[in-house]
This record gives sequence, structure tokens and C-alpha cells, in this order.
Amino acid sequence: MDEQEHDHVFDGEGEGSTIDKMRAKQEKKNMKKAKKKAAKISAGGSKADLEDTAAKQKELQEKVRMLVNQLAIREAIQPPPSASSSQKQKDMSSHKFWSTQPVPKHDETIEEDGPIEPDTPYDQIRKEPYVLPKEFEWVTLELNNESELNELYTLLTNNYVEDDDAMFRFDYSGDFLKWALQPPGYLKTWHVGVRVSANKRLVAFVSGIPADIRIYNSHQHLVEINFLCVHKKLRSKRLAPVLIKEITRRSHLQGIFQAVYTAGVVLPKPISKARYYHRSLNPKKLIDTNFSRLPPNTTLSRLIKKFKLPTETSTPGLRSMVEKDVPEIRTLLNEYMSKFNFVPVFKTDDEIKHWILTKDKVIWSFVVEDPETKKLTDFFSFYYLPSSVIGHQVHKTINAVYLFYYAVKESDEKAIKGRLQGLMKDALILAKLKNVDVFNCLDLLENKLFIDDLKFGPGDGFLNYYMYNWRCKGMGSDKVGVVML
Amino acid sequence: MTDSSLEEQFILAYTFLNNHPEINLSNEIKLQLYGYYKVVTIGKVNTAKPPLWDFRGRAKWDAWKEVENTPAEIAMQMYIETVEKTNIDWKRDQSDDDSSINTEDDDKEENKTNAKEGRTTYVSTMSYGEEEDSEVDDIFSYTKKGDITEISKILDSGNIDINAKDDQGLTLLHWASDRGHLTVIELLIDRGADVNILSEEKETPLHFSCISEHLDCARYLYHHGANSSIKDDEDLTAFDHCSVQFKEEVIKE
Repeated sequence: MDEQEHDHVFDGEGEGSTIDKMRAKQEKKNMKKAKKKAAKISAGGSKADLEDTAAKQKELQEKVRMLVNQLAIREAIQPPPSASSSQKQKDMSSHKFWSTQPVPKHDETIEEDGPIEPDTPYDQIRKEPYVLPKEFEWVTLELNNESELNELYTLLTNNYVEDDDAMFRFDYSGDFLKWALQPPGYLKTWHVGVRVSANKRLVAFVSGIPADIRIYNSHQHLVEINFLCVHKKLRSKRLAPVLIKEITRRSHLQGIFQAVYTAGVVLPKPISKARYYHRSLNPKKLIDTNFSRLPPNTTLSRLIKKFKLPTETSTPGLRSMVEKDVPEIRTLLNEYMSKFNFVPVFKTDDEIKHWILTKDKVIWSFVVEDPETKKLTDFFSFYYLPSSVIGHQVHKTINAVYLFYYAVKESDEKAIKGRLQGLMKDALILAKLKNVDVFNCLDLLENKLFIDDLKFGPGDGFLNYYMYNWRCKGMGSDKVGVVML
Repeated sequence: MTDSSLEEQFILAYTFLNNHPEINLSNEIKLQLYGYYKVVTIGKVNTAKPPLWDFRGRAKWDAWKEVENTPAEIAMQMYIETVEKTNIDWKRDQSDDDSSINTEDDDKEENKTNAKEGRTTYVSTMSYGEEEDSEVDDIFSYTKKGDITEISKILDSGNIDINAKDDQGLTLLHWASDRGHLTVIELLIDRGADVNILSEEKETPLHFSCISEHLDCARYLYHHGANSSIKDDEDLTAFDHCSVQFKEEVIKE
């Protein structure tokens, strides 16, 4: 929890201050009373008195303990509402910004797919950037410039994402950012930064990259929005809405009126909601860093044995992907994606080369080649995104990989399940050999076919999928194929 | 005010907080509440101070320690008052009526969203149900926590079989070797624990220290009579479970 949130607990209490004052008075009174009582008890006269108090206290503790136990039982039967507040939806009126945007409302019934507002004619698109608070200025980042790439890296590392207790932070590398932000056809003007005018310090960022997707039956060339980040100290300036409006404006100028984005929080209105799953490869380190927990009645040894993997892969014909595989992988992947409702469409070999071909310490891809026909039958890929461990004396980084795109050629469900389990087990083994501590995935695609059997455990993180200016029915996460970084 | 009404109020305040996980209290307040809660339900601190790097555990432990001498009644009173003081719209003599807090709740959410604005994602970690420390406080639970003071107290009391097994067929020395509590291992061996005792799966304490890679513990066991040629159910010795380097580190004088 950061300091800002502290403050907010006490915010919005300005009105009704009379009541507050009265309450404060009453508190003081009660506090005094309690203290007096405490003094009386602790100073309590004779020894017999003391013993009596001690006995009474014991009795009291016992009683309370029983009551608390009963409570625990009741709670176990009837769990409290929503364990995670960030996953609760609010009605539109409380989304000051999103209620002004072309996105579906939470309570909307969707009959027909289509845009929410029509494309804006070019001459009506605002040509100058939105106005920033006066101490800031817009910049376009040049990521091929090492120092600007470093500035972005620093901003994201210190301010991008944290888990609820701020124990971990994504640690994007420069190479990772270039992979994520410079795919074929990328536009520099979609790498939008905000600097403090006075000292030129980079304090906010948002990015867009071009993408082709299919949602249900609609093929779209659109923009994927990602890495929205505002410096911690400036979160009260409401820069995020301006950044979103600015990247929207810059998309409109390119003739693009739809966008895809994801977020851990619930906004109006998700197309789908996926959950993170984690597979321990190094259980001891994950427990040491509080990434996972050792149940009190389980031995560490048993846990380590449970997650132990063979040192060699078992799928015949499995090998690293090389450049000549690109065209075949493109066909394989696009075909596999046809069974889902919200998927990327890879239109050129260049895109596959960029997104899928192995780049060390960024993305690793493996293909299965049929030994007889020499045709590729399957492939899988995972990307490397470590998290820094905040404030740990021994461990600085958790080496994590995330399952990316994959494809299998089998067609009946049972065969797919068997095939996928074999492939993903090999993926775990390969990741372990790269000294990875945890293998993560979302419950997208057909991942539910192997999650349990390969000992993935549910995470506390969720990822909501959104489209901007597009209305369509929601879908289960097993119908989603788009993997965003 | 009678004791029973105080108890009821305490339970109500506790229930209210538990039923409203969306209420976002500061860490300071949370820790205060935790301290009083532990005093009311358990009394004085009965666990070992968590290690330095476990800052959450340590902060909680400190918070409890700070107020451990508060009488339970007062602790309840303080708990109730702290909850009231945080202005989350809970007052004593008011039941947990959801309809009465809804408007306030929405405001809270809005505030939180503003705070999280531009921070829309977070690193997912393994999810667990919120579990309190197990209520049983026996020598096995102290051994798992590494609470050397409590363990010696119980051992001193005399009426305990140091080689006794728990429901999982494990002795104290197995647990200490698994969790990596060297001081506990030293104490247990000093008090006559069998260093080569077998679990149901025929594992020695050395097996546990080798699998869990606790080098200091494995070294101590090895140099205090552990027989490294004993094979477990899988027909593996302790050293078959670890790397060659680890084994060499264990063996060297």
C-alpha cells in the first residue's frame, strides 16, 4: 500500500465535520474511560485481586476465541463479498472519465456488434495535442536512442506496476521494451511521453502499436494500447485521462478508431476476464520471497519433490525455432486461432519474425518437426519478464516467464489435451533449464486443459480485456486468444 | 457497560471489517488492530520473532508485542474505538447493515481508483485463502516456527518423548531439518533426539535438509552422526537428492 492510499482512506470526510467533531469528542471520552479502567486493573490492589483478574481474563479470552471460531465457520460456509476490491465493478456514474468515452456501460445489454460512435472525418479531428497542466510538455520518445529508452525503462521500473502489497515490480528490460513497442509498422508518434518542462524529466507515458485482430466475425486493423504509466508523485494531477485522449487523437489521425487494451482493474466494460496461474519451478525461492506460501502442515521437501521436473524434454522432434520456420508457423498459428473469438491475425511473415522468433532473454520459441514429413506440427513460445523483489536481502529478482502464443494441429479435444500437456511440460522443463523460478500463464486459449495437471496454482491477479469504441458480447477467457504483454 | 456487550461489540467490529475487505485502512491502523486482536484472542505473544527479511510478519509481531500486556477487556475497547476512529462508518450499537454504508462505500471506491489511476496492473502472486496462524500451540508448531524458547520450556518440563512422531509420521528433528532451523536441530540433538530416525517414507532428517537445501543444517547433521548411506523409499540417499556441489559443501570439514 502506498502513502497515497493512506490519505484516501480519510478523504471525502470533509462534509459532516460537526458529526466528526462530536465523534472525536466521544472517542476521547471513551479512550479516557478505557485508560482509567486499565490503570485500575493493572494497579489492582491485593494479590488475590490480581489472580482473580487473571482468571477472569483467561475466561474472557476463551469466550472470545469461541465466538471468533464460530464466526470463522460461518464465514467459511458463506464467504464474504468479493475478496478483491479491484475486481468489483462500479456503476458508470462513478467513472468520471470513462463515462465520457465510447465504451459500453456495465449494465448494458448488447444486441448487435459494432462501433459505439462513427469514425470522425479527418477534418474534424483535432490537429493539435490536448492541453497539459502548464508545468508539463508532450514528447515523442525515440526508443532507438539508448538514453531515451533508459528513461522509459526507469519510469516504468519505478512507477508502473506493483502488486497489492508492493512486494514485486515488473522489471522490463530495454530489449523487452523494444520488442513490445517496435513491431513491424510501428509509429514513433504512438510512443507518447510527458516531461516536466523545467527539468525535462520523463514523468508519464502511454504507447500504441498497430495490430490486426478478429473479434467474433469482425476483422479490424486497430491499435493496442499499453504501458500507461504516470509517475507516483503525480497521480493526483489526473494526467492519465489526458494521455488516453491524446493517444486516441493520434490514432484517429491515422484513421484508426478502435483499440484493444487490458487492465488488472475493472473498468466499463470488460469483454473477458482472465486469471493468472503460476507454476513453481523454484519453490524454495518463491516461498523465501513470499511469492508463494508454505502451508504450515506441509514439508518444504514434499513441495520441492512435487514440483521437480525431468531434465530432458520428451516430445520427439522438439527444437528451437529458426528463421526458416517463420512462414509455416504463421499458417499454423492463424489456423489454430480460428477456433477462438478474440484473436490476433498475423498478416505477414515479418510480424511472426518479430513476435515469435526467439530473441534471447526476451522471447523463446520452440517448434515440433515431424521426423518423417519434416513438416511443423506444433509450436509454443514464452516471454521473459522478471520481477524485482522489493526489500529482500538475499533475492533481488524473480525470474518469471509468461506463456505466449502456441499452436497444436490435433483436432479432437482429447488428442489436444494430451498433446498440450506434453508440450507444456516440455516448456516447463526448458524454462527450468534457463534458471526460471516461475512459469506463468492466463487461463486463455486451451490453457485450462493443462493448468491443473501440470500443477499450476491460481494467482491473485486478473487481467480484464477491453475494446475501445466497439460493442460486442462478452466471452469466457477460453475464447480469448490475444496475449498482451 | 457490561463485559458481554463489550465482547459483542468487539465481534461486531471484527465481523464488519472482515465482511468489507474493500475498506482500505492504513498499514498503521491495520497493525494496531492486529495487535489488539491477538491480545484479545490469544493474550501475550507466543511466537518467535520472524526473521528480518519477513518484514510483514515482523511488523505484525512487533505490533502485537507492543500491546501484549494490555488486559483483554481494554484491548477489546481499543479495538472497537480504533475501528470507530477510522471513519469507515462503523459505530458500536449499530449492526452491520449493508444498505446504510453503500453510498459511503462508493466514495471509497472512487478515491481508491484515483489513487490507483495509471497503475492499472499488478504482479500476480500465488493466491491463498486468508489463514490465521494455526491455533494449536504444541511442540510441533513451535518447531515449525523455530521458537527455541518455547521448545526448551516444553523439553524442560520433562514429560515428552523427543522422538515421537506426529500424524504425518515425522519427528521434531525432521521438521526442524525441513524448515532449516539450525538452533532447534542443535537443541534437539543435544537433548538426545535420534539423528537417524526414519519417517514413514524412510527418510532421515538429513534427507529433509538436503532436499530443502539448508546447507548449515545438513552440515550439522552430517557432522553429528547422520548416516548418509541410508536410502529412502525411492531408494535414494540424502545426497542423491541434492547437487554434487551441495554434497561437497556438506562433507567438507
